[in-house]
Amino acid sequence: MKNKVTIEGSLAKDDDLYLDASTRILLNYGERTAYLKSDGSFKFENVSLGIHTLTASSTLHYYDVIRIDVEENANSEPSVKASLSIPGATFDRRGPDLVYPLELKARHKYDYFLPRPTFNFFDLLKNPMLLMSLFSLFMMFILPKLTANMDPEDLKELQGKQINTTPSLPDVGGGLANWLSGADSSSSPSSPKKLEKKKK
Amino acid sequence: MRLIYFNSYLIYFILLNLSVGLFEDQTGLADWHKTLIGTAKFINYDRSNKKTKLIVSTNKNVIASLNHKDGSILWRQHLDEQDIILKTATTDDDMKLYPNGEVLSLVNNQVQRYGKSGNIIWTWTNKSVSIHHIFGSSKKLVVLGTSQAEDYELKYFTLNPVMGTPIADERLLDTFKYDPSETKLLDVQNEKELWIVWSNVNLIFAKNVDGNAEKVVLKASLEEVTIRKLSASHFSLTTKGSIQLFDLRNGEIVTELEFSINENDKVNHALTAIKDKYYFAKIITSEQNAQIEVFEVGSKNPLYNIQVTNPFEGGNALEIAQLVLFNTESTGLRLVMSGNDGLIKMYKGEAILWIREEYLTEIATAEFIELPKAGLFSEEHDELNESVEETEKISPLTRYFRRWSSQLLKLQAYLKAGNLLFKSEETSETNNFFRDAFGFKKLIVFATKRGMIVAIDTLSGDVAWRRYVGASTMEVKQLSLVRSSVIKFPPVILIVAENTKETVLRRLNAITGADYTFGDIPSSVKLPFLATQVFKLPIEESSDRTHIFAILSPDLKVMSSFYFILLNANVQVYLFPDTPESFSAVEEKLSFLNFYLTEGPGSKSIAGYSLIKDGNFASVKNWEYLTEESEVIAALATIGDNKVSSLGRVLGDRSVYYKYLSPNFLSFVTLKTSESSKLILSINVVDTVTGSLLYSGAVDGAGLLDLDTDIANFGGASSSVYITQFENRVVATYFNHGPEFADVEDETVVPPQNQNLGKEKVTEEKPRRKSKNVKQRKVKGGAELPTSEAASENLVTPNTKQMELLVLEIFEDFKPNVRLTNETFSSHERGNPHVLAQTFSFSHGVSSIGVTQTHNSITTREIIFALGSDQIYCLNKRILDPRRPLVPSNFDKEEMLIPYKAHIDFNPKEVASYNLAVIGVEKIISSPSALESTSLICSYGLDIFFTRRTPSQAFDVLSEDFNRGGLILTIVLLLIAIQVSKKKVDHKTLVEAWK
Repeated sequence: MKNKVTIEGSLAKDDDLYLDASTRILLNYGERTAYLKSDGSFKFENVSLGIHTLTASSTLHYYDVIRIDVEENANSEPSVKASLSIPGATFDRRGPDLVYPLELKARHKYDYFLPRPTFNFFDLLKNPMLLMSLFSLFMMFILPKLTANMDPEDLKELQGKQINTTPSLPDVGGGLANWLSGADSSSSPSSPKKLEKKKK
Repeated sequence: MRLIYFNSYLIYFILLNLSVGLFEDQTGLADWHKTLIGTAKFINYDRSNKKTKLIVSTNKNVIASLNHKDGSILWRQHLDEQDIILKTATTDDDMKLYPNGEVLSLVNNQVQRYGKSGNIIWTWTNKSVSIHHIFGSSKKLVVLGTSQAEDYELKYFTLNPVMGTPIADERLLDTFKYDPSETKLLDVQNEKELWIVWSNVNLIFAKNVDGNAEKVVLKASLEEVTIRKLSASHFSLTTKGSIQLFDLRNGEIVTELEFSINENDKVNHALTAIKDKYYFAKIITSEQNAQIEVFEVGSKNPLYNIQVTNPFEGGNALEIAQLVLFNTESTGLRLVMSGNDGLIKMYKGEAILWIREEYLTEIATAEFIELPKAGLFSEEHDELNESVEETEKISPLTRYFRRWSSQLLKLQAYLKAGNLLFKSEETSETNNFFRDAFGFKKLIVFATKRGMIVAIDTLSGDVAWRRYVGASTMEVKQLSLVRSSVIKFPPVILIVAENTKETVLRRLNAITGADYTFGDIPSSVKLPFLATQVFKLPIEESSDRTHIFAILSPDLKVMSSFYFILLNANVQVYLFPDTPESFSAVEEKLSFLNFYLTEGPGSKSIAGYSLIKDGNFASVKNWEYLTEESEVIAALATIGDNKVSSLGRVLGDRSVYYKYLSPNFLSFVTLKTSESSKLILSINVVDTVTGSLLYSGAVDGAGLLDLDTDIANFGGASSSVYITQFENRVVATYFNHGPEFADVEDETVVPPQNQNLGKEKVTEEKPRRKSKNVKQRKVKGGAELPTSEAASENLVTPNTKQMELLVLEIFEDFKPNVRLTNETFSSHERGNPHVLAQTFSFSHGVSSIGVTQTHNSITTREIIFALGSDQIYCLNKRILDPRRPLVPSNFDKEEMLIPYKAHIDFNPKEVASYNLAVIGVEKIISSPSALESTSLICSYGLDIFFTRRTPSQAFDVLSEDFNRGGLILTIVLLLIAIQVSKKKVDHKTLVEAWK
């Protein structure tokens, strides 16, 4: 009865995905390393029983992390099962099964760079300096014209209102933190509900 | 799952702004990358294609193809650590199998064929044999191996060279037994026959494997002889007194050339062919030159001979030479030489074509050197270069003139320095090493084990100076900064080298690389014993002293440097510089001088000492930490000089957790394998003065990545267990092998409660011995962390196999707002610190760990990891925070803590090396720049990579895309608007006045 097994697979060669010669296939994050051949195939020999993690180490593309179960088989060679690994979860949770021999496909290309901001007229409007000057222009030129056409009594009323309302600053930090922990809404009886109410 | 991803992206990108990415057009502006391959083991020419290439395989397990015209790398493959390259073959020297310039290599019992871009086309192996040779004839590739059983049968395999598949059954060449420890095997073949040359006892045989012909070539003992295959039919024998070149022609062995050589000469040889004619080159190297004689095979007289001067630095020896001839003229000669100084040099005739600096792959230690300020350097023209007595004697008028002339000199020097600042590019002298405005320009001084000291300019990545200080037997152990640059005095470094008997200390000027002597302190000292350790004493505290230095007279020279203490085996202490002044200075501060000693990773103890004066200085052992029998120290952090800007962490309820900012705490990781091959990793924090154990936590089932590594003989190399400490934090990495290897009696695995939380925190206490004042604490969250308390009750080993990051944060007390009121810090008075711990899983293997440093540590820190995928990755310390709560309370939210998530996602924007492959990183060092926002980081190992990081973004400089035009335009428009409105107002007041 054998208790060692060979794990085989290949990286899918897509038209737009160039197979990098420096790509390595790692078993358990580097405990074992396999080189990639030109056709994208790889092989690990003498893999012991148990659960292993298989990753493809590439600086170009992201590949799924794959969980490999090598299980003992009473009368024949050990069986190899492959399934998708869930990042951060234990082996108690099992992802969807994959076909074996493995066929790994690049999920996406790594993008190491930030996009350059392009010129946008609305970005210019977001500039606080510009907003301030626009506001002061508004106050200087347009507001007097608006108030000039108003009824003097209405004007008095308006001024009275302005005095009464004390500005209340929103709890920015708290709101932000609440939003952060969005998954757990029970402990954060904050903004989303209020927003809903306002909509109504 | 998608939701999880989305959530993490939100956290990383939008809210906390932790990402410090790079724009694509910024690559290479602030960083540089030296791609290296290592010192050459085999060099082959590849002339199969029109372009001549060099195939170099190195001691760093790299196979690379180099452009023979400029030495640049066409491709390189970094092989796994276990895969040692035994042989490489190209189409030129052995076989004409492949038309496109491909490489065959024999790596770790595997035959690999590489394509022209470095990709592996096929691999072949046979488990029953150990493979010794590969060679080919026109249609087949032959592999020779010996069976691994006791009888060492020689086996012969034929493969299809294109596909790597066997084309015939294996054949047993059973006519002789081949024991690799007693015989040397070499293949030689010509078109029709395959010959094997081997030696046995005192005879060297050649044998045709197809027939049974056997020829005795030479009688000699095996130790004295080296056999080298030079072409398909030629081989050479080198004995103590001669070199012989043989040709196997039609079943006969013909001696083609024979030279007698002097026993003391270092002789090397090579063979090359132009069309069908063979040329033999004999290379005799001495310290000053290398003589190359080229013979046409068959003729006794040399075709020509040339001489190359100074081929190696410091009298190093040639290790490999390989040459190729383009024509029979001496200018058609291309000779590549690799010496044990780590340089690969290519000669065209007598002239150097290019040099590859591969000694940079053997770095022992490195230091950042701050450059002097250009303005202050003019102080060299001293105000008044005279003693006080002299000043009193001379008349006021002469004094006035002297001052006047010295100020004139100073002005001149200042102008000069100013000029240098503005057009620093054109000067190539060492004089232009001045600090730039932002302090980005520094020197990194690297010391290689073989004694090459090299300084690299951080702005350009160019070598500023290079110096060979070693001798072939000396090994450089250490490089330390003696003094950073002070006014007109250059920075000084100390190099410690040793051979088997003695230790040499040598002081160098870090800006020029010249020996540094000051007063009567010599530049180097040779000690007739092996120092246990040489370390810097903190006698001269940095900044204030440097100010005193500015007005110093020669009498104060002792203060010009830190003092170095040497410890020999008897723990007697010597000082360097060994002057009465240094003795008295050390004596004055004797009671403060404590230090610890350890042999580092792989050793079993850490001990703390203090200095006493007993006639001479001596040291007394105060405490020792001993590991258990099957336990070793796997990784040690170093106590850096920690600048800290804030003393505590302000919590959400405005109370403060005070940081435990002891300059004496040291963290380290030990590994243990129990008899039932269970693994235990423990992380310990000790106080280096008292030896008290401040914290000890264990992780079951964790250890080195490779389970086959023998812990008892573990050397600490490439282990995946690393640790670093800064401020009050400790970060360690390790591999968790899961419950299979965990020593847990009750193996009930608690299912994860939270979908996000794949794993529980594993921290438990562990009894310790042999350490005084052992103080242990169970890690529990404070009142603010009710969730971590719950987590610490579930002490289970997570059912995973993954890389993990462990973070400790040490606070002064369990309760917030509590701190010791002492003015000064004392290890003896500090109570139990409060340690928080948390672990995270990480998707990449780690090969080194470092941390950013900034000028005043106001900027947040980033922990830098060298990943198994050949990348440099930075993680903000807010992500590696043990206070991250499972379920954040309102106070936590106010504190802006990120909720705990077991897995740390890989964010490509945080890769400092972006799309470059920085191969084989062994160490990461960092240094602050003059800008608070910016830290300089450098990684070395195989490649050297330098970059600047701004962990909190570049808040103190205008970003390069700042809209300067817009600003000017706004100002101009405002001015116009003011003018216009002024006129209007004037007009209005005038009109009103007339009303």
